[in-house]
Amino acid sequence: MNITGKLICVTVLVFHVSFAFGQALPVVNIDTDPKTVSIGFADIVSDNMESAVFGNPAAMSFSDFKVAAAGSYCYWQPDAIKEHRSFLSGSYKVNDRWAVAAGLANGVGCSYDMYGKDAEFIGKFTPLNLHFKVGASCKLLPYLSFGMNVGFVDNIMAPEYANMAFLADLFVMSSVHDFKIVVGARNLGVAWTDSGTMLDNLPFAVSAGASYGKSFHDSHGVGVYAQYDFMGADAMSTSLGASYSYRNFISLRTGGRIGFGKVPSMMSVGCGVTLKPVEFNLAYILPVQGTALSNTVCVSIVYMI
Amino acid sequence: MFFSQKIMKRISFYIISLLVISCSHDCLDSVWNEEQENCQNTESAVSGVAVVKFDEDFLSEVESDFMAGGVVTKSSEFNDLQQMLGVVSLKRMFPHAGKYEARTRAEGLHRWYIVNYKATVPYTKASGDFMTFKGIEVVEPFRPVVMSDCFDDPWMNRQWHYYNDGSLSPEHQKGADINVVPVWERYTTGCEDVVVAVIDGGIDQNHEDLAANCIGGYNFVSDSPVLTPHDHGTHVAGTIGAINNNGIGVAGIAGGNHKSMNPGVRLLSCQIFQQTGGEVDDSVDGSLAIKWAADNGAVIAQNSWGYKFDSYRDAKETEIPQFLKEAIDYFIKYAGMDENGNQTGPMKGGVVIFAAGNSGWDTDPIGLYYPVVSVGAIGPDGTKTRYSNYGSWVDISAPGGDVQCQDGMVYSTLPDNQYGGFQGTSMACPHVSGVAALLVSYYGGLDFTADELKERLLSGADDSYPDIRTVGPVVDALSSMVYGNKIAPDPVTDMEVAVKNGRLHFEWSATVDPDEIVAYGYRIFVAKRISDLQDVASEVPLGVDRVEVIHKRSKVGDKLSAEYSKGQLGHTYYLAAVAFDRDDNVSPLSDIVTVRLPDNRPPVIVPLQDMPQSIKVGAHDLLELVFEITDPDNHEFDVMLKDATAFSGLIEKDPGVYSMTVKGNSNLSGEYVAILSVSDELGAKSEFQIHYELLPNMRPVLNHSMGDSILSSMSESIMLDFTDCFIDPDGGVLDYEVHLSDPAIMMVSRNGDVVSLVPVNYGMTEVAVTASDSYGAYAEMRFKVAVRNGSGVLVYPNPVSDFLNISVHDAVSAKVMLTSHSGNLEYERILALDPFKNIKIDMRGFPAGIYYLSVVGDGMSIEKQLIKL
Repeated sequence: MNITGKLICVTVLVFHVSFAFGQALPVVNIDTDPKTVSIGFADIVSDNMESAVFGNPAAMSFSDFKVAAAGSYCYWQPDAIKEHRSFLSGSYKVNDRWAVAAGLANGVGCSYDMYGKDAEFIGKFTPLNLHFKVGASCKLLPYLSFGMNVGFVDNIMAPEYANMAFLADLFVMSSVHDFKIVVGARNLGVAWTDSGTMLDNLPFAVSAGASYGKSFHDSHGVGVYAQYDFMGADAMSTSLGASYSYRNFISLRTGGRIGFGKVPSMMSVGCGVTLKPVEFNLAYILPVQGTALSNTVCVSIVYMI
Repeated sequence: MFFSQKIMKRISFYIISLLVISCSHDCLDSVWNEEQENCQNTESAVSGVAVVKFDEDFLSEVESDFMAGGVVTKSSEFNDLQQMLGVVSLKRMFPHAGKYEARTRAEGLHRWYIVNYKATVPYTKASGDFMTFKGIEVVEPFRPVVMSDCFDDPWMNRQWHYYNDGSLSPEHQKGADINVVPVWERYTTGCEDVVVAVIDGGIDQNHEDLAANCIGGYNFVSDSPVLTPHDHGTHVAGTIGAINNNGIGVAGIAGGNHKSMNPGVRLLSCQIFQQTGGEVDDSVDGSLAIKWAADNGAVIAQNSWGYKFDSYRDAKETEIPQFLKEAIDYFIKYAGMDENGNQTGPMKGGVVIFAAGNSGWDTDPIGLYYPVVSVGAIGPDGTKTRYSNYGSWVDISAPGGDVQCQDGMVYSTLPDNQYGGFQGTSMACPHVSGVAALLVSYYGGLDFTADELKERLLSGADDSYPDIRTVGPVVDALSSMVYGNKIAPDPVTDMEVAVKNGRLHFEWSATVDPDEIVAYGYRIFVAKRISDLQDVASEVPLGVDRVEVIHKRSKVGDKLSAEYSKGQLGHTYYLAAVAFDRDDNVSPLSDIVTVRLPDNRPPVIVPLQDMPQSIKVGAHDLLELVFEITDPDNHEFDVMLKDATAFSGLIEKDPGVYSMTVKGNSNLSGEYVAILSVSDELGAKSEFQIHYELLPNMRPVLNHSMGDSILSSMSESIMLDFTDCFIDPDGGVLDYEVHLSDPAIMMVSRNGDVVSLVPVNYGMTEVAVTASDSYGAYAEMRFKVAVRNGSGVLVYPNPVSDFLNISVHDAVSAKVMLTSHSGNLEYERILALDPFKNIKIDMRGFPAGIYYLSVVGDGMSIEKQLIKL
């Protein structure tokens, strides 16, 4: 069995084990890259090299850039969680076969009131989470790449209480002409509390997606994206997105997600302005009743050469 | 020696003597003053009785008529006077005096007569009419004699054995004495011709209260005439012959009357005991003393001594020594006579009197010897003393004292001018000797024999005491003195009859008995036909009832009474009475009195409260019913309550006012009739029906319900007054219980019917209050109390690890949503939020992380950020 076969076997095994248990640390599923948010969270089929460490690392192998870096801020769920999230990430394409990436994300939640078992007021606390990841990609074949991220998450939710995890993402991506398809598994790993108690497994997800991107006369570029995420029988979603760019200067993006089970549906729009080698991006989740994600706004600045 | 002795402390004796003497002086002053007043006033005199002194000539004319016992005389003028005053009898005041009759007549004492006339005639009229009659020289009122006038001996108030009025202690029985006072008053206090030999220890010849009556004697112990004073002998001698009315010491039965210059009997000391200073006296056998006494003038041999025995069996098997028998026989035969058989003393022959002994046995060899007069002992309560020997051989008894009774001993003289109390048959014996000496003093003379004395002594003894079967009848000086008399008492002249409580109640005055002072008893005859009473005094015909009463200690003029309870109501009765003396000499029949017993009327029952046709008695009621019950004839009556279901406590709360209670009883609910039944002692009956209904119990009801309450802090509490919440329609007392569904939430503090519910924890509890009556019927009130930590919507705990509580202040239906950090909708429900029902969301299956809670309902929208650990 070659290495590809072994990875598939491990993936199936972890997949099975993950769904046999529950989930922990849902924060690891949050991707606030404006490019991804604006196309309905179809993150694995986008070709964002600068934030691939938080999405699909296998995409780095098919990127046209040598180096990409990004800084991002997002006001996450301003009508609910009210978390200020940001990240810094970067990727470097070592050669035509290998690429590596690293990223650091953090979230500062809204201060909340603490109450005891008799409703007595205890005090206030501001939750904080930190997410560090590194990734690598290897083009196995001219049309096929494999990518992997590993990371560490520390989610501090209450005084003297934090959850931590080691996790990994695995993806396989194929690019043929203007089409790309990808399959992968995310959030494989273990989690525990700061007191040493093991937690249920991470919010494991199996994702698959496809995209099509085409430039016309070097002036107009279009892309469509589709992605399916399976996070359990009561949590599935399908994301659809589209983008348009003019002369690689201005980009317009839109998308949506159709949620099943616990996963909420949403619609988002976004735009980007490229002043090479810098790119500015904005995403906004449209207010839809019943969706906690409404009015989420994310911005980023990207440097690419 | 038969005695036990209580030696009195010399110093205490003096104190007591002084007290008694000073008291006696006070009494004398008061008596003197009273006598002065009586000279001016005859109200205290006996009504219907006067004392007159006839003229010598008139008396010589009619004396034979008087002696015949009638009132009709040869003088028609005097007969008219008698008829006018209603004279029923005339008796000599100073009876025939035997050998002293001559000097009695010489002094004119025979002319004094006691005249009984109609009691309704005032003394002033009677005396005036008598004084107008030329045959009467003097008229005096007849005054009752009281004890304190008798003698002035200071210790006499302790000598209950002479006069027992029951006042010395609760044990003293009135009349338990030798009844000697009337003899002193009417007959004699002793005569110096009579010599009593005291065969005993030596008599203190120099004792202040004995010396004048002592004539020496002989000391058989030392075989010399020199006597040595002895406690026992001196005490015995004092009982017989201590000098009376000399203002010192004690009284003696035959001790004379010092103030009247009457010497008492002579005491001849025949000393057979001599004190040695040791436990046992020197002694000689008494037989030689008895023989000696007979040869030295004694006619009565007083012997308080006997033989010592090792055991009862020894005593039982021992016979009287022959020499003693012969000495006793000698005394009986020759006492009072000279060597030639001529009577030299007041009596021909002698009487030998012995104490029965103090062993408590039924035998004594000397007492069993028939010629001896054997004397047992009674106590101040009139019963046989525990120490006295007893049996049919005991001829007579007398007070012997009881050391266990307060002031219960026999008090007499002791050597060296001392006085004190002893007990024993040794003390009883001189009482009989003393009475015998009185009898000889009065009746003695030529041809008066010892047998006559013995018969009079024993036959006159009182056989009405309870223990005569064991210690014989009790010596009675008066009865013995009057024994064999033939003169009947005066008839009853003032009998009044009244009807009391359906009974015939008689009342009359004690009548004179010329030779016994006062009548001994009375018979009242009750007949329905007057003809049945014609000869009733001699023979009581069928159909005549007889009521007999004995008043042996009454005084002339005393008001006496008796009752007859067998009369039938509505019938007329005829009544008459006779008086009789100790020898059953019967007076003529009194006037016949007619009386009708009225018809008996039933008692009257009157309720003292409104009495509805039927009394309604609630299950918890306790009703008091009060009735006034009277008997129009003043009869006693019995009150009963019949068929009295649920009734209790029939009591007489006030005279004639009866109370009862009826208590409600639901278990017996229904209609009843109780009957208050009253029967008088003669059978007349009244009934009162009490209709009443016992009502069934009514369940308590909730009057004011307590609503659910929310307490927003621990400092709040709930006060609950049960009496505001519950009422019992039929007035039952309610018992309350408080139960909490969750006792950890609140503390129940109860003060009577008020309870405080004080929160001790947050949460909700249901409070159940039960009010129960005594039958177990109950009402219940339930309400909820929520104890919250503040107002508004409470979401806790946060962070949460298992259950999330959502508590609201007002009930509302709301949509509750929980969104995860990644935006997943983890929970969405529409819940009915209730302030008394905490909503708990089970978050145990939720992944740890940040969540957003949204509660949206009517008029409310709550958003919270939660942390699931």
